Amino acid sequence: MSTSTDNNASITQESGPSAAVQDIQKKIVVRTADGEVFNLKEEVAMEIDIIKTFFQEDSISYETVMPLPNVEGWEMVKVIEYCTKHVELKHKVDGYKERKAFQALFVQNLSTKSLLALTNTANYLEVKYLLDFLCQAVSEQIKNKDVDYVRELFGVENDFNDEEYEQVKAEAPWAHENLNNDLH
Amino acid sequence: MEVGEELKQPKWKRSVPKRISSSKSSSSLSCLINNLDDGCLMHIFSFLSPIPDRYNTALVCHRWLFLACHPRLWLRVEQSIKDPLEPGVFPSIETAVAAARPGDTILISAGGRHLASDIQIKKPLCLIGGGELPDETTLICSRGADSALEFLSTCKLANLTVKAELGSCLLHRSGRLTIDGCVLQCETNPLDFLSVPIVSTASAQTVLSSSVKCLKDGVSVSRTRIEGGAKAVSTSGYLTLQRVRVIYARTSLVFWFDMEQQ
Repeated sequence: MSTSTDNNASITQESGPSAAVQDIQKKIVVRTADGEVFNLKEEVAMEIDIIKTFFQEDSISYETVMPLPNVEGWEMVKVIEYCTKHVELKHKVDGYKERKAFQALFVQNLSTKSLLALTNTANYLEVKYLLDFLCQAVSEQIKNKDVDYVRELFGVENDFNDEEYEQVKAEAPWAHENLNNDLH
Repeated sequence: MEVGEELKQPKWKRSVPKRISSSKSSSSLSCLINNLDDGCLMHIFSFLSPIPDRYNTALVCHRWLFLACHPRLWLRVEQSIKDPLEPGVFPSIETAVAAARPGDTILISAGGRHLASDIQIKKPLCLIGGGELPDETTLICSRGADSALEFLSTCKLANLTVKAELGSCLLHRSGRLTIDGCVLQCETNPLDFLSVPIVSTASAQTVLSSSVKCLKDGVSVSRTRIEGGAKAVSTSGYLTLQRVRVIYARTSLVFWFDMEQQ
């Protein structure tokens, strides 16, 4: 990466987007399940492994619009938002606080249902760091909650009968008895 | 994905995310969490501490029970580490115990000898041998140590061999210790009276209010071969042997007994 500001030919992150730079950067086009079309900057698109594989490994021309039948438009917006931020923070030396603040904001207004849909999408699109973050966010919703609350929150039906339930509980007496003594 | 291959329970396939219509209802919500494939759900569970959270998720439904208790979430002790960056794999029992969270299960690889000398376990853990028979996973306690494992917490051992060259195999201080399907070996003709496979110094029951579930300190042994030692068990506290059953096989004795306060 060139540090000289006189050299217009080199494209550096620090120089900031200018019209000339954006023309040179390739765009990748995807279409989501609801028909929405997105133009992605190449570097952001390559963060999404499924897109990367499609174009790079299969050598498909960038002219092709990649269909994403399992992704909704709003989900794509969120994924692009996260990946763009990630690429931006990659070049920053001390981006930790900024990343944390961004992450908090990212999930702030997401309902449980949206969070789960987004997790599924991140899994499908294969964006590892986004998936890690979202899985952790879901686990935060489960932490320190009892079984009924968790079932209620995620809408999961209890398919244990009473006998089986007691049996599962009893199978790990070594794990849950005497908890108050054991957890320091 | 190798999830579910070794286990005889119904296999869960990797699911392609289904498109849910935009009308909200709790049934569509349940489709969403259960649409996540096994790997994804296990990844979510891996962020939860085993006690109490992962244990709670295991009680939600059959599928969650299967995934929350899956060996992929266990810590492993391997003699030779192929990939040092792989999380959850440790070179020794001590490092695994130190890194484990309360309620974790540690799988100790079969083959080879694992050193275990005076390892103190102060949190609820489960240690399981990775072989088919307990004889395949051996923990060796060398001469200088008092015992291989010292328990100050409710724990479980299964499918392991613990061999003490001098001294005892297991030292039980407090909590409920469960030993299932193991082999405990001591020096055959010990001079030292402390060469006993199981030593328990647990004393009086801890006093707790009636609203809190509590289990008395004790040891529960089943299907375990005990060999060598001056005697099988030594208690210097208030626990006594109860419900002892022994099977005399040709070369060894297999025990079932409990040690509890009367």
